[in-house]
Amino acid sequence: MKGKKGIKDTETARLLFALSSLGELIQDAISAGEVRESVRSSLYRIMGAMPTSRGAVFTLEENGILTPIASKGVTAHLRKDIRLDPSSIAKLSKIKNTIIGERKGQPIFAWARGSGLVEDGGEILIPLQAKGRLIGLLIVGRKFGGEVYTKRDRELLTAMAHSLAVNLYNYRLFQELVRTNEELRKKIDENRRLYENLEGIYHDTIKALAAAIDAKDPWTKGHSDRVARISVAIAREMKLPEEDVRAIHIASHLHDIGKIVTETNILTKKGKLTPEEYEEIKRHPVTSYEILSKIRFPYPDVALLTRHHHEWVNGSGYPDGLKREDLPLGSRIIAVADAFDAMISDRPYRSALPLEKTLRNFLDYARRQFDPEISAVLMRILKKELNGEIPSPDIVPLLKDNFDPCYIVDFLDKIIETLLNN
Amino acid sequence: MKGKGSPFKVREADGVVIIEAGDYLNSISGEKIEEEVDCYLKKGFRHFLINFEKTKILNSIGISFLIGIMERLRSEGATLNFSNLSKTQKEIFEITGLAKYVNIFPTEGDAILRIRKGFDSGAGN
Repeated sequence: MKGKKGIKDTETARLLFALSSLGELIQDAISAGEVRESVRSSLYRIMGAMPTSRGAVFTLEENGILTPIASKGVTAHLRKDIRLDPSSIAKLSKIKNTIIGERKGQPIFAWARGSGLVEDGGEILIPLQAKGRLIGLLIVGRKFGGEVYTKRDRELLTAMAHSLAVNLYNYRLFQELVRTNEELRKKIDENRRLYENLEGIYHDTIKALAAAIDAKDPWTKGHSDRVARISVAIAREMKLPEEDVRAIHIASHLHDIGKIVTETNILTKKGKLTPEEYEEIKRHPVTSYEILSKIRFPYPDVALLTRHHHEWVNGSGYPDGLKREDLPLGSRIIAVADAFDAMISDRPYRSALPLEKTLRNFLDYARRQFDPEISAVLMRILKKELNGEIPSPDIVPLLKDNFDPCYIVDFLDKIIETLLNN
Repeated sequence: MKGKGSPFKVREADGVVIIEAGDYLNSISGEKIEEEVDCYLKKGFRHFLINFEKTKILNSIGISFLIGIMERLRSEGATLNFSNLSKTQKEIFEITGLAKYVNIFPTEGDAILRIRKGFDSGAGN
């Protein structure tokens, strides 16, 4: 009797040890740690509680592949993906809360033998289910020492497998989240590329339209493109929001679109314009506005920016005679860029001005015609480009004048100081 | 001694590989101990002693690694010895049935002495 009591005590102690392992297993399932590591720990806990030296946990993918998540002591075959045929999956899915494998007469065991799972170390196979679906498989090897699994062992294994299934379900959710995130990131990237392509096509169309306007007057060929380059360089140097930079880019390309209705002979006239001819020229910003305000641009105020590109900051410009504080920043930028390009380019009635003269004009006309701060930004960009601080210069390549860069850089310093201090 | 932060130490004494298990035998230290055992087996050592003096936590994860080590050593004809087990640890090895497959000694000194005797009687390497 004494001996029997001893055995019973050992069994109770073993049950308590296994229950303590089950408690730790549940902790694994609800802990916020790394999910794969948690599945691995759960497998080790089950193996230590039985105890057995062989075990593996698989997740069942949608395509019927069993992928090992954790394994210990098993042969290489069980450390690789195993394809299950649909009928095997169907058989496994029907088994609820049942340990299979230890009774070799079971039909499912015959299948397992064929799969290689049993031959490679599995003594017991336990389908892992969550939310009524088969999500994986636990394989446990024979007990260390060769004892048979008792009824109590199987009950414990079933309970442990439930916790492991929760853990595995967490792992699958996490993997799904990673996959969804990755897919979402790919879609966002794809969308961004499409958007960039679309934007590229859009800008090319705008450029083509601007080139068509410029072509009406051989003297202003390429003018819109150059004004756009200078305007964008200023806007970027001022660190304006990207949306505003794009609006300025489009508006500067199209600022002269109103000239499409101006008589060509007026645009190309070499002599002095009559007051009527000048009045017709002066109509082009409003015409630009009227044309462009009917178009929906993806950026704000494009039409308005073109309307005011001939305004002066002292209010003596056209068409509305607005002063600096009432003028959009983009219009003031385009006004500076437009005037700068006009000065450095040949015109029917004069040759391109020397750079020094152009810069001096900005100094003279700042606060009357040009915004001094924006003019100073243009000068700063020129200085940076001449000093080689900008790898892809926008403005210096447009200059045709032979000038002394050292002298111009010094001169630019003085101009910037005067523009900002007066 | 293993790398920085390693929770266990390995040394040799009289042809015996002595592993001082850390305070918690978890999956990280368990795997490292398995690697160390493999290395010493390849070097020809056949007697291993795990000293549990500093081990505070021994749970089913630790047991799973000890079983792996036991099986590995058994397949190579090597012996595994435990020493400095607490009462609870000893009970765990008894209730899991592992006590049957290792030699358990009260102290490291006792274990080495007994293993040396085995050498002297021609049973050692």
